[in-house]
Amino acid sequence: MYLIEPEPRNYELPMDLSAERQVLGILIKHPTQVDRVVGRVRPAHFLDPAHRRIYEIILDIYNKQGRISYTQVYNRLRTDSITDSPAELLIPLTESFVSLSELDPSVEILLHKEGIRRIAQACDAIKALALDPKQDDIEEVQAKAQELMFAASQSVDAASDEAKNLLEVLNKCYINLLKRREGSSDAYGLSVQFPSIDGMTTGFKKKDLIILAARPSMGKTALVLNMAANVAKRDIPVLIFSLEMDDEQLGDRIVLSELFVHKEGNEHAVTSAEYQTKLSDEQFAVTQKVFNELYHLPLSIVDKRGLTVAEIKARARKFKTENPKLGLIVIDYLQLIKPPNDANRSWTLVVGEMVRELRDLAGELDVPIILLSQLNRGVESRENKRPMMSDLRDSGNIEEFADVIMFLYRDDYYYPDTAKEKGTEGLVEIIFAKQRKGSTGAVQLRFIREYTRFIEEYTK
Amino acid sequence: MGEMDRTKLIFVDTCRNLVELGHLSQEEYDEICDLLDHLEDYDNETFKAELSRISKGLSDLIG
Repeated sequence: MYLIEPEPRNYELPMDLSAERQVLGILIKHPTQVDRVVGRVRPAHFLDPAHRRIYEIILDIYNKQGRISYTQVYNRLRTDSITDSPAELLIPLTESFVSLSELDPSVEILLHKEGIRRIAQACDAIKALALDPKQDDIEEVQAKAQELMFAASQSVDAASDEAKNLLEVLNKCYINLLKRREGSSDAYGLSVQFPSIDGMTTGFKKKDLIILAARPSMGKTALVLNMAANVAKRDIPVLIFSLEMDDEQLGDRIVLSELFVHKEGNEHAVTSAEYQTKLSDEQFAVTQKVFNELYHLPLSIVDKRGLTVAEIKARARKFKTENPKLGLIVIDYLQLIKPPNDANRSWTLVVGEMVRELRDLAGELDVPIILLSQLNRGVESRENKRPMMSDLRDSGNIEEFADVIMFLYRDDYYYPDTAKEKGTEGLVEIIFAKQRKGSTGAVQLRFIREYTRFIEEYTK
Repeated sequence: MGEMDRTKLIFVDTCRNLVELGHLSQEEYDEICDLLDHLEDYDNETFKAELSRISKGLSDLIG
């Protein structure tokens, strides 16, 4: 995990041998209590190696449905050659407790001490990492340090890993059904305010990884910026990782997209060319109005190139801590994420691992993540240039980990003259090639290229 | 309560040593462990009788 070994500790790791003996003594004397602790207490919670081994034996006998007793544990210690004098190890346990009520407080002590030990050990690892002369990227060091501390802070309480019975699960489903019946806003996923997309998805779900893939310049960034702005307008924080465009480029695109809204029937409408050159006083006033509308939107941009998945995760976690109501994360785009230094593995596996980690991040932070992805040229060798799932495979093992896969396709991208003749210029197909919690299919939007704005086709 | 468990452990330890010295067979040792695990099911006389059944030498030891 770290490149140089940490210095030998100059402190004693926190432990409570008395609590360890009490827990073991009670479990051997009252084996039915093993059920109560087995989901919470791990062998690692016992710092004393002999105690840890005794607990492992207790768990092993328990799992094999054997009888837990001092003689059984004694025989296992003898058989496993852990010690020549098992009786010396076990006799203190027989005198370690007075009553069963000591079990819960002793378990709490073990959990507390082990939590402190993990944090102390993480601090040692962080110190070694920070002082490693080979580490010269401060941001990478910060990202790794944050990951180490985050991992150390995670509770090992396995309560959330317990199996849930069907009644519990169906209760949750029923509550969601009632919310939908009442039209409650939190009954659905995150609306992006494009009715055709929302109709397919019923809103992007928390914990989902949504892939939005297309050939370059098809409009992926424009679409996702439109969606992000629509979400932010409802006062829901959005975080965008832009590995290609800088913050000002994105800012200009967002302003341009909003200028389109002010275009209709406005004699002082601002065109894209005018925005980027010179505005009249009246046009300037219109543009200022758009800026004023956008200033307060809770939309944050990280425009750093060459980020690794670890750095993205670290920044996203920090942002979520500061903005608990974070509703959406956007990453533009997958192929620009810096991969780990692992020359031994195939590119497909490396990319798949990165996508899996981002999916896990969505689960951890309880938000949907939209990850943009380029498609390779293989699409263009076909007569029908609409993207398919197989086009993603060349980019890595992506489809396996995505909850939703959307492709963009524009006829006018490949056949501009034909599209002009047919009047289908700007018509975009959003192809839902995969959707774990919904149907597949396609919807249409219209792309107003000049303003990098998508609109519903029926509003044209 | 702890005193009984302590005694059982010392007794099992002694029996194990007897196995290693050849004075007790492994089968006798296993039966003794099983007897100790169910000690609460026996009164004193029954326990001695069972122990005698398993190994006369041992029951003579505890008189």
